[in-house]
Amino acid sequence: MHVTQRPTSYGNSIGLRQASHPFMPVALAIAVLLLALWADAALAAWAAFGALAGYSLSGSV
Amino acid sequence: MLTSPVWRTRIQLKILVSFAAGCMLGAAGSGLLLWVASGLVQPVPKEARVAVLIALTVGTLLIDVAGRADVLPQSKRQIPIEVFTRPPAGAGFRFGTEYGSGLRTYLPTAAAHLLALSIVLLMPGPRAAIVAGAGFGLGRAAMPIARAVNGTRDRWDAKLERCLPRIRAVVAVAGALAVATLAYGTVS
Repeated sequence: MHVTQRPTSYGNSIGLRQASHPFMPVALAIAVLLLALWADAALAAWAAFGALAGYSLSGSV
Repeated sequence: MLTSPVWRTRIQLKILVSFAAGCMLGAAGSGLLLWVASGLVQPVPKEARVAVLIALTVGTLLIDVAGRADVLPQSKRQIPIEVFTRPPAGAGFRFGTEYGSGLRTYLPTAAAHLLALSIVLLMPGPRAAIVAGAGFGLGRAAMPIARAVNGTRDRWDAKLERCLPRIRAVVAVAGALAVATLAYGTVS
């Protein structure tokens, strides 16, 4: 019998399943980075730069 | 032992939150250490530091394109298994602290090295170094969070594996852009 894993109800019920695509954190961080660079907000730019670097290491332990 | 789905979800949430907090704390600590290390290059004029950083940025980009991040300095030690002997939330926090610090995991891209070099050579101050570190920790925690939220773990893992080369290429370009802009802000 083939068993498929069902999505968690809390994630699915508020539409988070679609928003949790592996590329989504990158898109978010780049949006913050560009906005921060445009607004000359150095701290936010550093945070977004850090988040991008951290996420790019995904898949390694 | 059988547990209800609601109870299991609560435990998972607790572990994820403590893991993310640990990641951010460990990474912020690394950021602070890098800021302390940046004191060593303080006597070097900022124009020279920026020139070195730009050269190193090009170097890290080339290393990422060649897929040879293994040549960069990194710890070969893994996080010890004893971490998981603690209660779930404590284990998540301890594992997150070590995972987020970037000192005890394999680094498959040069992005972390580029961030560290930028903190040392641009000397943005302790606040920015800690914020950059916390951002790094949040980025590290984002993968298990997105995976848990998605719920279809096997399919999500397969999707991540397919997306990883593109993610790493985009991050390399965005990282270079961030370095260029932050470096411009330092010299101007």
